[in-house]
Parts: sequence; C-alpha cells; structure tokens
Amino acid sequence: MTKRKSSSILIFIFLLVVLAVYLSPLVLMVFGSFKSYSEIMSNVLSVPQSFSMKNFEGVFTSMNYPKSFLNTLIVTVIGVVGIVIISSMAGYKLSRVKTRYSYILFLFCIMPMMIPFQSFMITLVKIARQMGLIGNLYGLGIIYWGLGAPLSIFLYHGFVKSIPRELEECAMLDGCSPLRMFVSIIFPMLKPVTASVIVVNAMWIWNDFLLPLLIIGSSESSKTLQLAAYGFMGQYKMEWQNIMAGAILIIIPALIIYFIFQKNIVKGMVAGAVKG
Amino acid sequence: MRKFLALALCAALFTGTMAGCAGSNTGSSAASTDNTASASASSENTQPVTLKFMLNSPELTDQYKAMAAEYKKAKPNVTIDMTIIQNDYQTVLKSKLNSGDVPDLFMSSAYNDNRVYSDYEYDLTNEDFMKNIDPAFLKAVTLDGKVTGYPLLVQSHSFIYNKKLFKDAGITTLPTTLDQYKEVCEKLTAKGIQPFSSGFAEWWVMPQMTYPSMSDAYDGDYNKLFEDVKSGKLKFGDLPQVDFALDLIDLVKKYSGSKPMESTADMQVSDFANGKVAMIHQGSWEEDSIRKVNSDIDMGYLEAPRKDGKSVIAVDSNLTMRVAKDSKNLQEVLAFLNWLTTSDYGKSWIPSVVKQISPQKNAQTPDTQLAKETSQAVTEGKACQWWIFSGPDGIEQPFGTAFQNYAAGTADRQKTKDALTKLFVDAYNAES
Amino acid sequence: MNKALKKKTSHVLEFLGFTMPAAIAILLFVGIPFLMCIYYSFRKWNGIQKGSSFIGIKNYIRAFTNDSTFLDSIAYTLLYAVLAVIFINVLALFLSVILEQSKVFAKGLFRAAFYIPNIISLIIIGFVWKFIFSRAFEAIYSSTGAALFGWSWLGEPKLAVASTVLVTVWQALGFYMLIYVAGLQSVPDDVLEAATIDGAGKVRRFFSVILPLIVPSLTVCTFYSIASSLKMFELIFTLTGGGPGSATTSVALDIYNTAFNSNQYGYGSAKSVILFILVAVITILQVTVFKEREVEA
Repeated sequence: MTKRKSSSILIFIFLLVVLAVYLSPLVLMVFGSFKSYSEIMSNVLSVPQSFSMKNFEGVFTSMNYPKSFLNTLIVTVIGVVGIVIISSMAGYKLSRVKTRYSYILFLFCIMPMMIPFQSFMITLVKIARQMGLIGNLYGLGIIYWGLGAPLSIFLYHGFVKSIPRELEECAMLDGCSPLRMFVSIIFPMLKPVTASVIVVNAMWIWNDFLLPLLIIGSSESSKTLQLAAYGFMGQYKMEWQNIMAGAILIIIPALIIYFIFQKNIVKGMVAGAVKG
Repeated sequence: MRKFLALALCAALFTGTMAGCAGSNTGSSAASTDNTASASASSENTQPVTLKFMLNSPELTDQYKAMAAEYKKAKPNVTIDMTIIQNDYQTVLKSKLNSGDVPDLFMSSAYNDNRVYSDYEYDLTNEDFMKNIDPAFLKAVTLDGKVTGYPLLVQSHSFIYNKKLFKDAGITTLPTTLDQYKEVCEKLTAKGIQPFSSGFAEWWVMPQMTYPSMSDAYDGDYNKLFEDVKSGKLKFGDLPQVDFALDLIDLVKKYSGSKPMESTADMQVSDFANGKVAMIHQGSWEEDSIRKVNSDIDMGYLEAPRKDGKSVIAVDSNLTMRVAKDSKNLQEVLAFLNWLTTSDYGKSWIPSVVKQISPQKNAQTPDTQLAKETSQAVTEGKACQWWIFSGPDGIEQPFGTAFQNYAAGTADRQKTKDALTKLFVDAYNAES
Repeated sequence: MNKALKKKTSHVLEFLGFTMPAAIAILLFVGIPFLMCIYYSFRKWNGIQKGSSFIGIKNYIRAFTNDSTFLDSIAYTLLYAVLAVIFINVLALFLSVILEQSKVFAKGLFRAAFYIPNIISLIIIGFVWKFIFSRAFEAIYSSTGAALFGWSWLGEPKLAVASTVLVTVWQALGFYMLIYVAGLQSVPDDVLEAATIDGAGKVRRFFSVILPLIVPSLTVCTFYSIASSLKMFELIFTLTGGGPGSATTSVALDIYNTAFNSNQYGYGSAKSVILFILVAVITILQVTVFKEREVEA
C-alpha cells in the first residue's frame, strides 16, 4: 500500500516536470505579454518587472475587442450548431443503414479530410459568392457546415454503433416517426460525442483565419478576432509583446469553451474512439 | 425670458441655414442649365459610395488610414474600404478576381504583372492625371504602349549601414567592391561587431540582395537578356554575374553570425536598430520601422558591388495600383486617383506621410535619410532598376529558394546554377 | 407487393432526409470545388486570366518527371509524417497510460493542461515558437552555454526538419491524449484485475491486455494523424516558411507556392490531385490493416 502511494507521488512529480517543460513556451508568452519592447529584447526569459496591463489595453482597443469577439462568437455558434445537426443525423443513418450505397456515401462524406484546403479554396469562394454567402458572418458560418461535417460524421458514425438498436425498435412499434425518435431518443444518447464534436469544431472555427479572410475580408463591422489580430500583426510586426497580448486575448475565450465541455468530452471520445 | 432668447437664436440660426441651403440650390440649378453633365455628376456625388481597395504593405496601415480619412473629408460620400494584407495577398486577390468579387482597386508589381492582370486592369493612358507622373516611372507600368497601372511609390534597396559602428571600427572609406566589403567585415569583426544580419530566412531578401550585383548582365540590355533566356540561347545559370552573386552570398553568410539562415526581415531590422549588427540588406520601406525602434540611429546606404566594378543602388517603382476596368464605381476610383495626384494633400501624402519617394513630377523629396540618398544616387547615375521583374511571371520566389538552398548548403554552386537555368525554362513554359 | 414498395420508398426517403443535408453541404463546399480543381489540373492556367487551355496530362507528367522540388517535398512530407505519427501516438499513449493507470491527484487538470496548445491557432503557435527558437534559445545559450541551445534549430536543414516535427507533436499531443484516455477508460476493470492476479507485470499487462483492447482508439488516432500530417500546411508556413531553402517544404506548401506565388494554378491543381490520391491510398491501407487487428482482439 505504501509502495503504491510512493510510486504515485513519483509519477505525480514526473508529470509535473513534463508539464512544466511542456508549457514553458506558453509561460514565456504570458511573461512577454506584460513586458515593454525594450524589456522583451533585453530580458527574454525573466519574469516581467511589473504586471502592467498596458499592452492588453492597447491591443484590446486596436482589435476592437468586444465587437470582434461578438462576431467570432456568432460565426462559431452558427457553424457549430449547423455541424452538430447535420452530422449527427447523417452519422446516425450512415452507421445504421448497412447497404453499399450507404457505405459509398459515408466514404464521400469523410473524403474531405484527405484534401488540402488550399487546393479548392479559389473555387469555394466562387461558389460562395454565387450563393450570396460572401461578406457576412452568417454566410461564413454556413460554409463551415460543409468543411466541419466530415470529421464530425466520422465521430458520430463510430459512436452510434455502441447504442443498442432495441430502443429504436421499441419506439418504432410505438408508432414514433423517425425524426421524432431521433430528436427525443437518439440525440440525447449522443450527448457525450456531441460535446467532443462541439469542442473540436469550436476550437477550429474560433482559430480559423484564412476562410474569414476570404469571405469577410476587410469589412470593419464583421471582423473576427483572428482577422483583427492579423491586422496588427502585419502592422506591428516586430512588437512581440503586443502580438503575445493579442494571442492571449484570443485564447482565453477558447479556454473557457474547452472547460465548459471538457467533462463530457472525455466520455464522448470514449465511445467515439472505441467504436471508430 | 432666457427661453425666449434661446428660441429666437434657434430661429435665427435656422433661417440662416435655410438661406444657405437655398443659395447653394439656386447655384447648382443655375449651373445645371449651363451644363447638364456636371449637374448629373454632382448629383451622383452625393450618393454614398463604398470603394473596395486591396492593398499590400501592411507596414503602411496607418498611412493608408490617414489617406482614407483625408479623402473622406474631401468627399464625404465616399468611403474607402481597405483590405491590407501581405502573406496571403496573392491568395486572397486570386480568389476575389476569380469569384467576380473584384476589388475596385488592387495592388500588384509592375513589369510582368502588367500582362498578368490584363483581363482586369483599366487602361489609364488617357487619364489626365497620369501626365503628372514622371515618365521614367511610367515605363514600368506600360505594356504595348498602354499605361496599365498607377505607380504608387519609388522604393530602393541596398546595404544599409550603421555610421557610428563603421566609425568605431575605424572605417573611413565606404566599400564598393566585393574585396572592400570583405575588408570592412574583417575590421568590424576585429572590433567585436557582427557585420551583417543576413535576412536569409526570407525568400525575397536574397534575390533583392543579388539583383543589383547582377544588374550589369548583358550590359543592362535586359530585354535582350530575357529574349535569349526564353529562346534557350542563354542558360541563365551560365551568366558570369550569377557566380558573382553567389560570391556575395558566401561573404554575407560568413559574416552573419552563427545562425545566418534564421535571420528574418524583422530580426534584421531589430538587430540593426539595436546596434547589434553593422549592415543589413534592406529597403527604404524599413527606415520607418528602424526608427520606431531607435529614433536617432545614424544610417545610410552603401552601394552594392558589381562585377564590372561599378556600384549601384536598386531603385524602382514596383508597387502599382491597378483600377478594375469593370468596376461599378470606375469614375469614383479615377476621381480618387486624380485627387491623390493633383490635390495638395494627395501630392504630399507619399513624401511627407509615407515618407518615401513619390513617382510624381516635381514631387518634394521626403525628409528621410534613405530617400535622400536614393535621389542622390539617381542623379549621379548610380541606380539600377529591378530588372528581374522584366523576366517571366512568378519567377521571384523559386529564384529566392534556389539561393536559399545554396546558402543553407543543400545545393552546391553547380547545382544552384542548374536550378536557376531550369526555373527560367519552366517559368517560360508555363506562361500562357 | 404495393405495400412493400411503399415501405421501401419510405425507407429511402428517410435515409435521404437524414443524410442529404450533410451530403449537400459537403458537396457544395468541398465536392464541387475539388471537382473544379481536378478540371484545372488538365489545363494550363495562371489562376488570374480569364482564359485557360487544355493540355491533357502534361501537368501530371511534369510533376513526376521534371520537378525535383515536388519530389523532394513528397520525400520530406513522408519523413515528417512518419516521425510525427510515431512520436505523437507513442508519447500520447505513454502519457495517457501513466495518467490513467495511476492514482494521480488532479487528473483532469493535467489533461486540460496538455490540451492547451491545441486550442491556440497555428499562426500563433508558429509565431511563438519562432520567438523561442530565436530569442529564448539565444538567451538560454548565453546564460548556460549548453550547446543544444546554440544550434540553429530553424536554419540548419536537418534540425529544421526536427523542429517542425517537434512543434507539431507539442501542439497535437493533447488532442490525441484525449482520445487515448477515453479509450483507456473504456477498458473494463475486471479484465485488468484478472491480469494483475495472473501476475502480469505492468509492462506486460500493457502490451498483452490493454493494447489489444484499445486498437480502435489507435485506428482513429493514426488515421487522423496520418491524414493531417500528410497535408500539413499552416504550421510549416508560419514556422519555417518551408525553409531553410526548401528543406521543410511540405507537399501542401509546394502546391501553395506553385499555385499562388509562381502563378501556375493548373499545375498546382495537378499536384493537389496527386496529394489527395497519396493521402487516400495511405489512410485506406492503414485503416484496413488496423481493422483486421480489431477483429483479432
């Protein structure tokens, strides 16, 4: 018993050391965000002389943070909600129906994971424009449906296998319509994997830069956080301290999203991964 | 009583504005009887218009914004919506052009880009304001006798040196040949000063560093040079100037400290501004950034060495504004360029706000060291043009990568020459 | 008879109703655009002008016979992918097992901490690591003199390859740990207990009991890590820009350079199609091999 305890302490210390090394680049980033330009140049590694919020204040204003934050949130919510709805439905059906056509459709749905974005981006913008999706946040959110669905379908597809079929059969006998059954019985059971789909897609959309640049571009009123950050990255290219402060302002909301869903994510990945 | 007074004041003011309004109304209606065209133009002027600009060079963001704000004052109904990017500029511009979401005005290089964008660019030949542009710089945007773009700035690049560090190392005569550069480096090193920050991590620094040193190729007859390269008569790698350029790269690499391949343009600027290195190869566009870090640094241009013994600074007007010919707001864009060329603010924007050299006739010289030295080099005939842009489309990056591979040691001299030859052949084959 | 047909139609309709929203979104935003990419791969086009011309399979021939940059980029990408996939999966699995099989205090916090790099955009990651490799390493070197920190991590071709792998692993580890932790949690406790009673050591217990049971997680992780490392673009673009020279130019980056900097969009499209086929073949092979193992377990 004591042996077990001491080995557990050793492991704890080992993990702590690994983690310290692992996160040290980020610690430097946090330190850097509080320093002045001359301090960051002369004392790269040290703790900042004072934890002044000056850089953050400057960046906050130049990014037009509240507005950009709201824009990013709108895009992320539209994107993620759409992805969850269409992928859970498709993943469920593709997993349950075991015909050749269903398998081919499944392959088609996960194929985009093998294509680099750069190779179809020009034509994507062309189509988006013809559909009137250019220049506004809603259009941007909708485009993410097609780009985010593949991985999400992949995850749902694996998870559904672990749900017993009996439930559905019972509901069918009760005369439940397919859609109603999905909404009231199946979808609640998919909750764990839904959490991971939400986190994975939210992180990605939150941090995406190139697609917003192509779809939203310069429009001041609908800039996302990434676009706003990029604006001052180009302009103040050497001012590491501002860039680091901006990065932290973008990371914090993402971190909060992660913490909200993290409990469910682990459970979700269990089933999704196991039956993958 | 007070209330009454206030009301009376209001009424007075109100009638005053009314009168003003009426006055201007009669004025314009009077004009319209004289000239219907100008009346329709002025009624258009009051419509709110948004012009979409795609600009590169984000280091000029503040200056672009100042210009747009000033234009808003001159023309309150016109809003300029600017997208300013660097890294992804090509990507975004291509996507926009192809999707039909063409910006009203966009930027590109001059020379071979005149042809690349020929499906989109408006012919500026007959625009009155173009007469104010110095003909020397119109050459760069002229294709088959047509003026295809608006030259925005004249920029220059060469080795920039820190005068104080040179003095500390006891250097009295400035280097102009490769051997003299070597001597200077030795002297600096002996004093414990690192001679260069290379910039070799950027693919575009090495080509810029070598173009001036190769500008005596074919005695400056670049059209003939590229004709021969295109027809296969000349293998580009066989130019003796290529050898000279590689020697220059060897020299800079040797004296660039322990990590020459990691030096980015930002590091060049900060190393130079902080007095860590004595020389960098950079352009006039970085003077502002250098001074942001160290406002009273004493710097100047060195002339780049050349095989024929002459030494030069590369000067050209490459940043070009192109007007989209199918723009709905074509007249407004032209009015903007007219303002930029003829109004007092517009004329002084480049020399006194951007603080670089304006391509306009009789423009004032900006009060910056590198710009002054550039003007001097031009008058002394010590300038060369950015001749590589007369070559095939899309050559610049592969050119830079070939040099980077040489500097990194992954390709030897012969392999580098072969690579240069091949990339010119490939680029000409790919031109449609 | 009529009833059966009716039932079948309603099944088909139901199937379509569930799958079409996703399928249409994918078709619109990936499928059709990629078909256009295939179309352009048979043409000569600079990506700007309105006209293009059909040139058959010349772009494909050029990619394989007359473009050493492209072939080098394939070699680099394969090396990078092999290293990244191995390190990511081995390390993620190792850390997850340690985390899960011990009674460590604050497990959730550790998991979250390892996940943090994964929520940062790759543009910022590239930026921060550039800062570390240049400024921070320089400072460490001058104060400790450890040779390791004096090396040119982004400037020496071989080291730069290692750096791209290092940063990739650092960034991705948390994501894969999450999947492995989940897989490990699903291993039933009674199986583990049985193995302990049988007297299996920790290492043996891992290889003979745990590993076979978490093959499904392995399948997912290797599939996803292979696919994403073979088409890696952003991280390399911001960290090394493909350099020094072309030492770390991945296929996706070479495609980007060809299409957007050299203005050879048609040719770049052909390279994209080749990359797609490469990724598809490798991932399908991988999944097939791993699925067989799953059956055995």
